[in-house]
Amino acid sequence: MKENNTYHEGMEANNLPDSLRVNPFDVPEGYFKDLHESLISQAKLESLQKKNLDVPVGYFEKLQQNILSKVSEEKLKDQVKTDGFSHPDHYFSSLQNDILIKVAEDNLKSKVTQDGFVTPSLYFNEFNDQLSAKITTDNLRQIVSTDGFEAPKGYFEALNATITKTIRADLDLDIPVETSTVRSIKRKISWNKYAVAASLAAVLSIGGYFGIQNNNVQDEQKNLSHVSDQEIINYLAQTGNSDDLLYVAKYIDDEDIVGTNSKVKDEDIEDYLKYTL
Amino acid sequence: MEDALIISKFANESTREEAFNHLLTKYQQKIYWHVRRMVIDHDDADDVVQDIFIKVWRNLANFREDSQLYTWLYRIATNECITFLNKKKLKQNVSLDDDSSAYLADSLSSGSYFSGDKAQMKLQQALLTLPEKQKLVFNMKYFDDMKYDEISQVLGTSVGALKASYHLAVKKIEAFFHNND
Repeated sequence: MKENNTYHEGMEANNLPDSLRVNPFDVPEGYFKDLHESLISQAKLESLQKKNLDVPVGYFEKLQQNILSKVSEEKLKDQVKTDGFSHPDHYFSSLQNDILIKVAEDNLKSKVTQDGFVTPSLYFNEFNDQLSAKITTDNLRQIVSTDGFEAPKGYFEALNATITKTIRADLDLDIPVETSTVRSIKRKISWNKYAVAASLAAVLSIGGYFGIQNNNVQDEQKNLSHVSDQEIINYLAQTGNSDDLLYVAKYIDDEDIVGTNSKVKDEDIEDYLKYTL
Repeated sequence: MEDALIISKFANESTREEAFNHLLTKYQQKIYWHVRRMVIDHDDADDVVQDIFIKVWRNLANFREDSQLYTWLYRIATNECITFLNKKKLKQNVSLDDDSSAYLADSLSSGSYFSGDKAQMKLQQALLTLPEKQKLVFNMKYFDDMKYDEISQVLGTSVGALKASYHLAVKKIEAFFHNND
């Protein structure tokens, strides 16, 4: 921009010629346009320069040491490129998922503190014995895997036939399949036999016992005469073994109660008494 | 045939024999070997097995399904074995207090139908030194692979006591093998 009328003040006679009245100064193009920004930038620059003049306390004292340290560090980095640590493959790709699982697990643990399983009583007390038995068993199985027994050829086929034949005979004799209590005896034995067997056993037992004490049989018979058969049966039922009753009963026939002693050996009676008393 | 079906067919008179034949076929070998290991001699085992199945025929109608059929059969078989062995003891003048099965040693050495090798013979000899209960537990666990719970149902003994019995049996057998090398 050029100003033509700067000195025009109405004093035409005294005025300089128009050629001299033109402003001789000029500014670069866009000067005023950029002036504002230029001034602000300059101000900022000066402000920064002022600040940079300050250095931290002891900066220069430590500068040499710091530079040397930096040099050493760079040297070391050149020699040892990595720290030697590594991580499993895909560690970082699965890390987020792993963390989420861990969080879920922690939540679950806070809600369910125990698994609810229990062991049988004394399990851990018996554990050593059981383990030792297991080891010995396994060792034994290496040597002996089967029992070594054998059955005759065709035995099992014949067994079926034999049993079926016996059962058919039962059916022919009209021996019914029992539908009441289960008893572990082959032959149908009446309660009379039990009662007789029990009485006999009781008489023999008690008689034998008192006989050893004072040999006065007459007195024992008197004492026993006061004991009812039912009491003797009850006594045997509480203290004896039913197998023994069955064994005694086996040697007694209904019609041969008196002759029992002829079928039962003395040694057997002694064994029986030893076993029951 | 499933056990439940055998039992239900046995309850019906028209299918009783058929059901019993199935039961025989299914269990006769298991029962025979269980008995044989206890009584050792084949002929004795044969007698006992026949008695057992006749008893089963007569009592199966009363079987209560609160236990498994085969544990019921084993229970009957075990009781029959014990009864038979007690009678045998008495016949051979062996005290009933003598709990070992040493009196069966003759059956093992003289009886036929034993094809075992030296080790199998030694194991049987070791078993003869055990009390009957320990021998039963050992046989059921070692040869029949039964669980303690099942053995408990058969013998009516607690699982803890059975474990102790088995442990003692195994230790005695181990010692027998060690001393008879």
